Amino acid sequence: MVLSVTMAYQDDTYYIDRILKHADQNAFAGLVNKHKTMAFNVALRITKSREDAEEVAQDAFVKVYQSLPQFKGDSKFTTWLFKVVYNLALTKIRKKSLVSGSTDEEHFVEPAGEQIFDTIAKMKEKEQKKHLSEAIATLDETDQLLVTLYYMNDQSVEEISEITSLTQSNVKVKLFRARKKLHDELHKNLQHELHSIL
Amino acid sequence: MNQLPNKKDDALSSLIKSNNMLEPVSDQFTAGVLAKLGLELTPPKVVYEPVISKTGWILISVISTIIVALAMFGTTSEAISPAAATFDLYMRQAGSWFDALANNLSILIISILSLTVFLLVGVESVYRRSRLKAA
Repeated sequence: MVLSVTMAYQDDTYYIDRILKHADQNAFAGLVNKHKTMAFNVALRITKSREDAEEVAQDAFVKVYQSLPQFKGDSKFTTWLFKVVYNLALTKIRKKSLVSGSTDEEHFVEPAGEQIFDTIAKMKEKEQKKHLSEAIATLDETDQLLVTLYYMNDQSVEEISEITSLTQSNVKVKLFRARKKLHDELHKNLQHELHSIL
Repeated sequence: MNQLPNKKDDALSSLIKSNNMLEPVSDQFTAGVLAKLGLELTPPKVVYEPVISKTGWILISVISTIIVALAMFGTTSEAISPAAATFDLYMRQAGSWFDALANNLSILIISILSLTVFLLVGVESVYRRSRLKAA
């Protein structure tokens, strides 16, 4: 059984109103606490360094706070925040000359079978996490980011497209490809494990 | 055509969600953001409430006054109701102490003084609360 402890947070508009209308600094702290983990993970997928990711995510919150009066609410607050995080993370790695990977679309492949995901789901929680982490780590930075936003934070393809400035079809292709790669990696890891046992 | 499966029906989605795959952030993250902005958290306002409320003080004063009055003046055995009779019975059981109190002048004076102090403290508490509210 998986237990998750989540704090009860208000809607983003509540915090934004308190910050703008009442200059409530505690409300901004609440907003940071609510989104810090996801912002940090978005940055981490790009920078691959905890220190850089933390700095990027913090700078993104600073930038967002300073630009909050200009936020019109046309898109979700998180879409705006993660877009800022994403851009700052890209700037960070460009500065470090560590940009790698390709954003070219690849050929479509046959959809992955579901059996491997079901097999993993039957494993113990610790094992599941280990296999998933290893598989996700084999994806390139952009694909890791897309998987994080799409599967872990329930962002839609449209929102991810807005955050990353990729076209919606490109996001879909990349997610499909990432999903297939995850499937293949999990399959390979499990087979390897089976061989080592036998 | 190859399409992403619906997220609700996607085995990978439920697998990732059931495992918290997000890396935890440091404890000092929020403090770091606020420091970069030169902001400080304002501690929540502490409101002090007296242990015994205004109503509580009034109730205690009334009960104490009744007890002392009964102890001083006593009651006859001609009870007018069952409840009064029961109360009278209890009072009689504790009668020896109250008799001593009523018959001993020094104890009586101490009791009256204690009651006065008790009532003054109660009045002062009510006054302080009304001043706090006004502030």
